[in-house]
Amino acid sequence: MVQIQGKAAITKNQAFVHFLTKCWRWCCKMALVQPRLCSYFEPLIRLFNPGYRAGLISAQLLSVSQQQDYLHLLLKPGKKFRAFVPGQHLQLSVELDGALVQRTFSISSPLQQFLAQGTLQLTLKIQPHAGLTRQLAARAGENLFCYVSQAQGDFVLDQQRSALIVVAGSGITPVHAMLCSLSRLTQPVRLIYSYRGADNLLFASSWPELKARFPLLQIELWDTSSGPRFSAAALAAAFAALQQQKAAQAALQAEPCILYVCGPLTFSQQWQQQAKTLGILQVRQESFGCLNAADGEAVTVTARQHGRLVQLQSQGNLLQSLEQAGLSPRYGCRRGICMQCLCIKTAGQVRNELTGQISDTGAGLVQLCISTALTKLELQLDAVSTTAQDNTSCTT
Amino acid sequence: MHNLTSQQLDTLATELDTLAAQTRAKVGAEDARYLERVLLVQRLAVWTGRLLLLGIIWSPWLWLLGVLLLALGKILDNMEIGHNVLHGQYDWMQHPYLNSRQFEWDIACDAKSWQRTHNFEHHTYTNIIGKDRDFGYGLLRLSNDFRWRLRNLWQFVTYLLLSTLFQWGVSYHELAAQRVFFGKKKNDRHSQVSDHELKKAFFGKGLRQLCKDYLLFPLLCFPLFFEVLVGNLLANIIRNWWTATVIFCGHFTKDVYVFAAKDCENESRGHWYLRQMLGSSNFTGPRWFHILTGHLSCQIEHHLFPDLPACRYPELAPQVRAIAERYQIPYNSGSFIRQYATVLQRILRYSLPAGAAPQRQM
Ligand code: FES
Repeated sequence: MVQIQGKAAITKNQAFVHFLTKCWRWCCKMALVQPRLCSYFEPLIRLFNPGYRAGLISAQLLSVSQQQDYLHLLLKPGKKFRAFVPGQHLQLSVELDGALVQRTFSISSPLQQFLAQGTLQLTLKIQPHAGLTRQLAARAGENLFCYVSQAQGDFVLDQQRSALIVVAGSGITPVHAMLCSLSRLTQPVRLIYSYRGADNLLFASSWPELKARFPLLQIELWDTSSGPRFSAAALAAAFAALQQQKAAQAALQAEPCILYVCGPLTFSQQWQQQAKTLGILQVRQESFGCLNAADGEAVTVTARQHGRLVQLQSQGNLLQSLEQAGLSPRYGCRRGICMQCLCIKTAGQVRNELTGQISDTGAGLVQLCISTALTKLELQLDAVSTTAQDNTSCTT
Repeated sequence: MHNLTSQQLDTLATELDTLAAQTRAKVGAEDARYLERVLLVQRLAVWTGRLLLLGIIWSPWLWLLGVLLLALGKILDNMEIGHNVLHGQYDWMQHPYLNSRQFEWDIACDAKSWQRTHNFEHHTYTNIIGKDRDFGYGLLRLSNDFRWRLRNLWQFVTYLLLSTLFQWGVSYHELAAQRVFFGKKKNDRHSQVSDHELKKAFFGKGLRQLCKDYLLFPLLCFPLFFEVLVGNLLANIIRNWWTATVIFCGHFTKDVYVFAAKDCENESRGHWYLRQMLGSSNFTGPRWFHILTGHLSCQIEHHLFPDLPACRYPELAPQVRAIAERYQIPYNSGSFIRQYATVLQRILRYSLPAGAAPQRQM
C-alpha cells in the first residue's frame, strides 16, 4: 500500500515537472520563437566555444589511429554523456565542411576505461565509398568537432548464460567491449572471430590476455585470407564443444545458451538461420552495412507515421511507393521544389533523382518525391499537420 | 519571341542543372559560417535594439535607434535566415533546428503554412494566373486577366494597408485560399490540412507573436510599458514594409510575364525554368542591401534554384544572365528605385478597367 502511494507521489511529481517543462518551452517559443533557450543563443555561445551545439553532447577527439582497413577513434565525451553497457552503440556526428554527418558505431573499449579516464574508443571500418569514415581517415590530426548520442541498443552480454559468439570483421568491436569489461566469468563462452588477413586482426593483444584471465573463455580466430571460411559445420562443432564444456561444469544449471551474432548484414542473416537448424532458440544480433539493391530491384522500406509502422517494397520513386502502400506522406509540388515531402531517414541510402547524388548511410533528411531507395531504408514520416513540430530531430 | 522549341528548352534545363550542380559542389563550410554570422548579427541587433528602447529615459534618439535595430533584427530573421532556411537551403547542414522542418521565424505566419503557400504554390506555379495566389494576393488586380471590380478603384490604398499589415496578410493567406472563414469552398483546391488545423496554427502563432511584442516585453520593462509597446509596433511595421516592398519588386514589376494555366500543364523542366526567369525580376544594390533583402534582390536566381544557399545568388547571377542572353530570354533587372516605380505604376494602372496596356504574356 505504502509502495503504491510512493509510486503515485513520484508520478505526480513527474507530471508537475513535465508541466513546468512544457510551460517553459511555451515561454521560449513565445519570447524567442525557438523551443529552447540554448538553441536560440547557440550562435553567441559558439563565439566562445566553437564546438558547442545546443542539444548535442560534444566529444573531444583525442586521437585517430589507423590499422590497415580500420580506424580507432579515442573520444572524451562531455559530462552529459551517461555511462554505457558494454556492447551498446552510439551515434557519432562529425562536423565536416559545415555539415553534421552522422553514423552509428559500437563502443569497442571497456567500461572500466570510461569510468577511470572518461574516454571511449570507437573502431570503424574505412568504407571505400562512405563519406564519414574516409574523411576521418584523411583528416586525422585535424581538429574536428564531434558529437555523440547516449549509448543505446540491447546487444549486451547476459552473464548468467553460456554464450556462443560469432562475429566477422568490425563485428568484433562490441564483443571486445563486452569481454574486456568482464570482472569474472561464471559460464562458458566461446568466441569465433573471422577476419581477413593478419593486419586486419583487431585488438590482437587483448585475446591472449583475456584467455589467460578467464579459463571459461574459448577463442577461435579464423583468418579467412589464408584459411577456410567459418562454415555451418564449424558452427555445429563449436556448439557441440560448448555443450560439452557446459556438461563438464556439472554444477551449472542447464539453461540453454545464447547465440550472439555480429557482422555485416548478410553474415548475420546467414548465422541466424543456422542457429535455427541447430536448435538454438535465443539469438541476439547486431548487423551493419547495407545491401545495395541491383538497379531497379525493389528494396524494403520501413516507414513510421502517426506511431504506425508500415513495411513495404519500394521500387522507383519513394513518394509513390509510400502512397501505394496506403500511407499519406506530406507533399506539394512532387518535383523537388517545395520541400513539403521532406522527412527523416534514420538509416539507409537513397539516390536523388534530380542531382544523382547518393546519400550517406546514416540519419539525414530526404525529399521523398525525388528519391529512390537504394538500400533497406527506415523513414520517419511527419504527421500531415500544421501544428509546430516538437523538437525531435535527426541528429539528436 | 520565347518560342523556344522543346529541344531548346531541354538544353536550357541541362545548362541550368549543370550550373546548379557546380554550385552545389562548392557549398560547404563557408556557407555554414555565413549563416552563423548572420544569425549572430541578428541576435545582437535584436537584443541591443530591445535594450536601447529603454534608453528613452535619456534620449528619444536612443529609443529610435533601438526601434531601427529591432527592425533590422526582424528583417534579418525573416529574410536572410527564415525565408532561406525554410526553403531548405541549409538542410544539407543537418543542423538540429536550422532546417526546413523545424525552423520557426519571428513573424505572425506559421512556418508550415507559409511553406505550403510559398514554397509549393508560389514556386511551383509562379505567375500562373489563377494558380499562383501570390500574384496580387487576391486583393490587387495586377493584370488584365482579372475581371475589374469596383474595389480595384482604390486598390492603391489597399496596397498601402497590405504593406503595413503584411505579416498578417501572409499569415491569413492560406486561410483565405481555403475559404476557412468566408466564401464558398472551391472544388478544385486540394489540401492535406484540415480547416481546423489551419485555424489552430493561425491563432496559435499569431497569439504568441502578439503576446511577445505587445505584452511580454512591454511588461518586462514595466514603467516604460507604452514606450516599448510602440517601439515594437514600429519595428514590426518597418519590417512589414520592407518585406512587402522587396517581394513586390520581385514579381510585380512592369516587365514580368504572366502565364495561362493551360500552357503550363505537364510542362517540361526547361519550361518551368523559362517561366521562373520570365516571371521574376532582380534589382541591384550593394552587398549589405542584398543581405537585407535575403538575396531576393536576385529573385530570378532564387526562383531557378530555390534550394541553393542564397548567399550564392550574386555569384550565379552573371552566369544566369549569360545563359538568358544566349537563349534570348529577357533578364529583368534594374535599380531598386526603377523597379519599385514600375511596381507602383502597375498597381495604379490596373486599378482602372480601361487604358491598361496589354501585359506581357507568354
Ligand atoms: S513535394 Fe515538393 S519537394 Fe517533394
